[in-house]
Amino acid sequence: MNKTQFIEQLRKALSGIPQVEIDDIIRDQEEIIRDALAAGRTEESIITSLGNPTELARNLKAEFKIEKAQDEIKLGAKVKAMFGAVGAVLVLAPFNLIFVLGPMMAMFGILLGGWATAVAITVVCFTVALAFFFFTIVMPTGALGWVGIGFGFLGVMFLGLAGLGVMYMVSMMVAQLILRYLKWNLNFVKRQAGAV
Amino acid sequence: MNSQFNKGVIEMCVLALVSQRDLYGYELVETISKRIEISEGTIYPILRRLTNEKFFETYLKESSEGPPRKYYKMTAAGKKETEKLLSSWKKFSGDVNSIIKGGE
Repeated sequence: MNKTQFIEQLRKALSGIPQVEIDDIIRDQEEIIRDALAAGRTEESIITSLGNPTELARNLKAEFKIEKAQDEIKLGAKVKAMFGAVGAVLVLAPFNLIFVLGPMMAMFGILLGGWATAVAITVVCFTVALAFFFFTIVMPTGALGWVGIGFGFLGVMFLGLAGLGVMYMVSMMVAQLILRYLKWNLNFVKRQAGAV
Repeated sequence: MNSQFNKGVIEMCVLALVSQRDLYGYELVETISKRIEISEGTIYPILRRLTNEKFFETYLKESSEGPPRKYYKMTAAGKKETEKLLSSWKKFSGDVNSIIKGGE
């Protein structure tokens, strides 16, 4: 493989991340090749030492996607970006499936349970409270106690709402943890592959 | 050298060198490869990662031999990380040396 082929393959394999990033990586590689040539190295030995361009691109892409997901500040966007990052890591090391996807699915299950509970509490309590208030209006006499019960349910509904807030924060934290694990995992995979 | 061992050490060398002055990629390759066997392909992913971690900033500077080069400059966070790594390295290598010498 010569210099041009290396750069071309790298560029192709990098597609999927923003063009500025691709241009930056290509610029860096060209600089290194240029300097190494000027230092008297042969083109062939330089290209060999730079490694397989497809492999290099996969690593850089995975790293970029993890970084991007870490920088997302909204939960929806973060989770979406996180799946992109997981995909990129899995392409790099398919045997990772069980170490990445297994624990992730378990955590998602727990989180989903939490979200469902908070939503259920909020919706059910709101409905029941409304029912009691409605009942009070329809039968005004002797129904004052029911207003109290209605307010009781309203109170619990606010607990449910607070639960939703807590779930949002917990989910963000879990996503951040998963991303940190992915990063660690990526470095670990690289070491296993023998790449320093 | 064992590659698992090597990786962290090279990263530390890169940090230590850039903490002394701003350097460009191939300068790092040349400096380190005088003593430790590394190649162009080794240094680049390390530089990129350390930049992503905000330990380095980069800027382009004109060179006399051709297009501009990318220089790596240490940030405050990088300085802190370097100090942390170097102090634990000094302790570790001192301990290993004592053990090899057979002392206490």
